[in-house]
Amino acid sequence: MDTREITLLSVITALCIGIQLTPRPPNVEFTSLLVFLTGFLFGVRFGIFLGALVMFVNGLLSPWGFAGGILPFQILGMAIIGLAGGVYRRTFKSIDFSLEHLLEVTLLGAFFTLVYDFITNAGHALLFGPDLIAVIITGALFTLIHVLSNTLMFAFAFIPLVEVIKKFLGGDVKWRKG
Amino acid sequence: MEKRLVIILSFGLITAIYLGVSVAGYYYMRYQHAIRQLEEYKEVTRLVNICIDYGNGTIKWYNDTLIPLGYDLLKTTELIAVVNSTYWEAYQSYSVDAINGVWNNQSNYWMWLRWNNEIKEWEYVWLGADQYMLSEGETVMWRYERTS
Repeated sequence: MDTREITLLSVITALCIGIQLTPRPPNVEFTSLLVFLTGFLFGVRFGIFLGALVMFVNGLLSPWGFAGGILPFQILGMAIIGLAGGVYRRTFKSIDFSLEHLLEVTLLGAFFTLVYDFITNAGHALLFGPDLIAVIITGALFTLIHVLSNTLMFAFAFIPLVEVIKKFLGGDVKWRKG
Repeated sequence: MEKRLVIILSFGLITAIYLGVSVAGYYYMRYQHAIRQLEEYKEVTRLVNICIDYGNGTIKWYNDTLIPLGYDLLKTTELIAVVNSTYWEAYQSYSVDAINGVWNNQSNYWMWLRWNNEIKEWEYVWLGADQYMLSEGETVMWRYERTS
């Protein structure tokens, strides 16, 4: 990694943790987008690392309180989003976005938010006893808000952010397959 | 269609189905909960039907209005409409002055009637609305009538 990449990664990490710890409406978050973006930009390993790190810090310092036993599930869920960003990047030969990519990113954002919620719901069911279906149904509206807000964020912010960072890093030359 | 697009579209489909089913499940659960609560409170609640006839062709029905046991007609009407009333010390009772902004005047007045299920007719009850306790399944009508 060169200095620019390290700096950018540090800024994204700090931003991610900062936003995650800021009081906000429940289930509206920017972490998924930034972790997916990091995975996409810097590769699978960084995506996983950032996802896990942010959720670890969040689990300890979140304004909603200490995550407790659910923490490993949050870490796993967010790491998968980072992984997904990295894997998605591998499907590109060059970074030229089209409308098809916009649709893809939007659907991926929705799907992996759902995966995250499913994993944390499964963790909740495993730890606290009620069966998984009951947990999923009880939290359905929270999941809906989470998925819808992330879908919008991925749709409107992912491609512009990639374009901006692409310029910052000096074009396509720095793109790597993670 | 490209294989990758098909895969991603199926992700979207899975997400939509999952959300649809879970949100439907959520509302079904809420519905069942409400039904259970209704059963639980059956002993202390009543279902009544209230009709408001504005005298100009507008008639509104509030069927199966759930009220707590011991609610009189005045309190029940206040659940479904904006009611202005005056307390008369002499009668130790309230009279209704207006319902939903339609006020009594020199020629028109709010009267109330109950449906007599035995003779199948509306009948006047000469009591203040706050003195009449509603019973299960009872049907009552407020009618804006010409009195002169």
